[in-house]
Amino acid sequence: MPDPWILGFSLITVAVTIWMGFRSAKSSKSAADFFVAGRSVSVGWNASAISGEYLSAASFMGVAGMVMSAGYDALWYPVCYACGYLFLLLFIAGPLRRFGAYTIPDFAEGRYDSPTFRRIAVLFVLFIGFFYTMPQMKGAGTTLNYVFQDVSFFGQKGLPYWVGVVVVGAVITLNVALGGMKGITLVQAFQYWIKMFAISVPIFVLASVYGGYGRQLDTIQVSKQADTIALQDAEMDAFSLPFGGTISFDPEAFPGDFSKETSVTSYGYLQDEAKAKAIRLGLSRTSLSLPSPTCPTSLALDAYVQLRLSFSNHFTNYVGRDVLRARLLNLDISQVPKPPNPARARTLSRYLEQIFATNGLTLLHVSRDAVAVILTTNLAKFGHPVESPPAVAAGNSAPLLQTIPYAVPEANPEPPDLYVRDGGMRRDYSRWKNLWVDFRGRERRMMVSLPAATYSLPDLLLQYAQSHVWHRGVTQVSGRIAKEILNRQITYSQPGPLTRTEFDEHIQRALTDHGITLVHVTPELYKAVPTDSAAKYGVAFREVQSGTVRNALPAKAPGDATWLNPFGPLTTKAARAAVPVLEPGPTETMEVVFDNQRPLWSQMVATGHHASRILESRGVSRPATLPPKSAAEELVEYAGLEKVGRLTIATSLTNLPVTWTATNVMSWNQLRNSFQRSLEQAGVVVRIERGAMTAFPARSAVSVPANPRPYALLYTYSLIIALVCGTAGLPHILVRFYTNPDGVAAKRTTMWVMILIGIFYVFPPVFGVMGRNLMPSLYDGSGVNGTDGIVLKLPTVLGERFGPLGSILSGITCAGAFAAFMSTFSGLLVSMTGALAHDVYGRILRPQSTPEQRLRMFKVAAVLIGAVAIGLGTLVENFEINFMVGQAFAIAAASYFPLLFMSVWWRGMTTRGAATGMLTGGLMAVAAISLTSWTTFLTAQGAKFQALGRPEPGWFTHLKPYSLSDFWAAHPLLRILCEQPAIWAVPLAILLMIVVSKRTRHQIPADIREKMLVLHAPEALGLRQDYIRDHHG
Amino acid sequence: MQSQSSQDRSALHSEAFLRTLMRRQLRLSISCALTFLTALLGMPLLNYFLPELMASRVGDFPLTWLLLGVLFFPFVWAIAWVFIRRSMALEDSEVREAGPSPSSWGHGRSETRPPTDH
Repeated sequence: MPDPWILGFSLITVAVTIWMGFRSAKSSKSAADFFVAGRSVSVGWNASAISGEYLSAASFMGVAGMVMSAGYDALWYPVCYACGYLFLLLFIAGPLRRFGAYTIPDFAEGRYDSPTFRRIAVLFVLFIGFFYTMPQMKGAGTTLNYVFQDVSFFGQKGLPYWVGVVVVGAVITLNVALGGMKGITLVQAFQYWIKMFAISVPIFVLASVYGGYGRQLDTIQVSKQADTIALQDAEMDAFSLPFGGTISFDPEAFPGDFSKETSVTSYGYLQDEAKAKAIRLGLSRTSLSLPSPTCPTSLALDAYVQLRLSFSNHFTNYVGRDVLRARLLNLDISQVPKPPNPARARTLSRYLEQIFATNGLTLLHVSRDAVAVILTTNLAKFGHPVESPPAVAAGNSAPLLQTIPYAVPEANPEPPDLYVRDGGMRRDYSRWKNLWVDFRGRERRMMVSLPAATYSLPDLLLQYAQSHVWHRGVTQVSGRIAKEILNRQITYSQPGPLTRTEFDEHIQRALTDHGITLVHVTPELYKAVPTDSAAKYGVAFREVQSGTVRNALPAKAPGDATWLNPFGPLTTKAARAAVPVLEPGPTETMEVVFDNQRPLWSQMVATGHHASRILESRGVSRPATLPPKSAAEELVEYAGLEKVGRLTIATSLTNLPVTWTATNVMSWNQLRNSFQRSLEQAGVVVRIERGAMTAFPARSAVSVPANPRPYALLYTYSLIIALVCGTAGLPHILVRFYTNPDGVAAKRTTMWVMILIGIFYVFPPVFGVMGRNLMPSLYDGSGVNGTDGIVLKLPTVLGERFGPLGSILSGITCAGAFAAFMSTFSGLLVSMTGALAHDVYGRILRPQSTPEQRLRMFKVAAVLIGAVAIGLGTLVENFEINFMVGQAFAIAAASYFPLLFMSVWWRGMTTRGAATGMLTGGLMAVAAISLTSWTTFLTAQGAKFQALGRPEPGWFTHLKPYSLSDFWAAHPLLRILCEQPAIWAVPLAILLMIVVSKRTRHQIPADIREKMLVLHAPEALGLRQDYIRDHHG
Repeated sequence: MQSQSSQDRSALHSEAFLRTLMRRQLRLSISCALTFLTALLGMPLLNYFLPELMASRVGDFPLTWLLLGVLFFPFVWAIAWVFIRRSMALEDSEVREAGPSPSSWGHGRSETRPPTDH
């Protein structure tokens, strides 16, 4: 039984709307006729009516749904909807009103004296109209599904989506066909206030219970650290378990010929870069002398870099601009005790770090092979607290921070594949003059992928720590796990490649979901403790503000950082989906077989690829001086390292030479990275997926955008242009614009419209934010059960505490939704039917038809268009409402906006120019949008069949290869440009208009000056009357 | 009298008048548009180049959220208001400049009627 309140409110709204519509049919007055008995409608009612017509299902339901699913980026929609209206006001409204054209086809015909052009304009009324009816239908389907969600239909719970669409569509179509729903001012004004009431009252009630807009946003914090951490070792019942990626080795462990000491003495700094690379970490002694008592900073930095070069093949240093500005050219080295000479490289680098520290500089490890020099006083600016991390009390009996070198014991299974693509700044050693680059930019460029699986806690923390090694640039990470949670199994999954911050968040969330809290003591030290008894281990939490509830987010939901900040899921979707693709062409597939009895490298020794010592448990080595090998051979060895079963290589790579550049002793990860590096330098892209490795030439592959933000910026601008320019093209809005009798009232009306819609648009995002906190289960749903229904469903959270209040408020929002999509759909249907019946039938097909015939045609056309709209509406269950409206706007922006803008302000426009521009821009926009929508549609259908466990129907299997999703994955830029075409379609249309008009300038109407005068001269001067008189006289 | 008013009317139909008219109106529209476009198109750039500043909290709101989600609307109202006032003043001054009104001119009320529906 559906909820009585919800059903009741909905039925009332529907009944009243239909009844009022029929009443309007009785009167013979037209829709825009305001001269009722000689009076005119007041500014207030008129403004409400226009606002009511403006706010469709997108504004009511869609904006909230999109804010919930995409976060900050969705805020552009309501702002641009309002700005679009302003744009109309500034450029188009006045002239159009003076001209006396109330629809765009009217204007097109009048301005160019061309009935043909009218037909083209009508064509676009239909195009844009259909794209605009689809989101209304989605709104209808979602709402009806919700109203009847407790009822079973066809064995399934809830009214199926398509049934809702068909029912609502049919009801409204019939109404329009029978002559009702013409959108009288009063009805539309009413609709506005219903919607305003429906969107605001629930917010106020929810805010008083759960906290308002600000409070809700406050609970979504991006940075999180547990605030107070005390190392209460006495109470901590734990033991050290090593987890972390240390790249320092216990030097004594290496046998063999690596114990030779290399001693380099020189004045100033280590001279020979090649020799520096050959120095193994800690295994040899190095001498360092610096000029005293002051040493040039550059010299000290050079020496430091040289020392670091013994740990990795290349090392980059950055110098903060603040240091350059401070002109710290010399360092005082007398304060720091000199190290023994010669000493281990590590000792020397620590000595240098101390020198920097005493001179007020900090060496910040940006990553494993980059360091940045900044002023210590500015440390906070770069995201680190000024105070040094809490020092470990030296007096404790048991050493707490026992760092144990990372080892891969042979008995353990291979750790899960952590495939990291580093598209960032790995450059060769560069010198002091390099200026600062935000190191957090680097962090953003690394994408991390961890396969979905169930991990033991230590394994998962291993991955987390490894990502921190790369991210923080610390050389070792270690931590402690409380004994009682040591054996917990954590289920982890992530939606696609993530940036470092998101990866951290996902792991943290996975841990919190399993009742484990991970806290940082220092960037290099972690504690994993059970949340319930965290205090026992000395972990305290910052209190969440009382009263503000925050429910756990499901895995599919975007993380807080991406959601809250600009350039989030909406705008970076295409860039993130990009994957390198294999070059079409001949490939060679190899099966890489392992002899699991023998260690990996011994196999290599046996086949003679290279002769090197195998150190299975401590690391591997590979001489730096190898003859260049072919890419194929290199890939076989790499595949062996990764233990993949199958290797596919593009044949063109088989003989491509690859040079190996690496140091000798290294950990697994270093070796892996060395492989990747040398292959990349040779121009080979390697992709590892599900135990198979593919390799292909880089020049044929599209690289994953290392940084998705520029793409997101492009997307944002294209979206803004579409929404702001597209408002000009809504067929049913312009009619409404001038329903005032005189200019002054018209302008005042416009001002009020801006205020009314502006106030309205503040509320839907609040629904989105509250929805994220209070009802995050919607993230898991799709289609009708997705975030688009948040406005309807959110008030029900009050149901627990306040009984029927939740249902009442939900009923009110349902009423608002009905008001929204019913009125918009009927308005659109009326415009489109009018265009079809009046312009196509009445003027083109049968100009001699009688009024009765025309009326019959109107009814037929209404049914026809309604049927098509319903049909299209059933296909869009998985598209977001707001997104579809954005598409409709993009088409209008590429066709109508250039037409109106150029026709009004440039007298050089000709019919042909206008037609060319409009058709090209509009049709290309339609084509581009259809391509991406096609892919989305097929992908969503595929996901649906998978989720339901049903076998794929025949048509789907047939069409699946043509879904283009691989193409989009390979060309993320194209995907963005097709999904949001405004940024190229609008300039293209304008350009074509200008160029073609200039070439057909003989076609400019002779009375163009009069036309322009009518468009621009104040009405009081009566030039329009002159024009009409001259024209018809 | 007749020749005087027809002279006035032909002045109204002149090229010079049209140009002045369009220029003034375009200038007003463009200046208002530029103001709001700078803000609108500048926001993504601010978000791109100054992410920490835009993510800083004002009260409970991130600055960028507050700007785009709440404060942009009063900004738009202000521009609309300014434009409406100025365009009305512009129209009045244009009417005044056109000279004393002969009887054939309307006064403020336009007699345009919207087309009737079917």
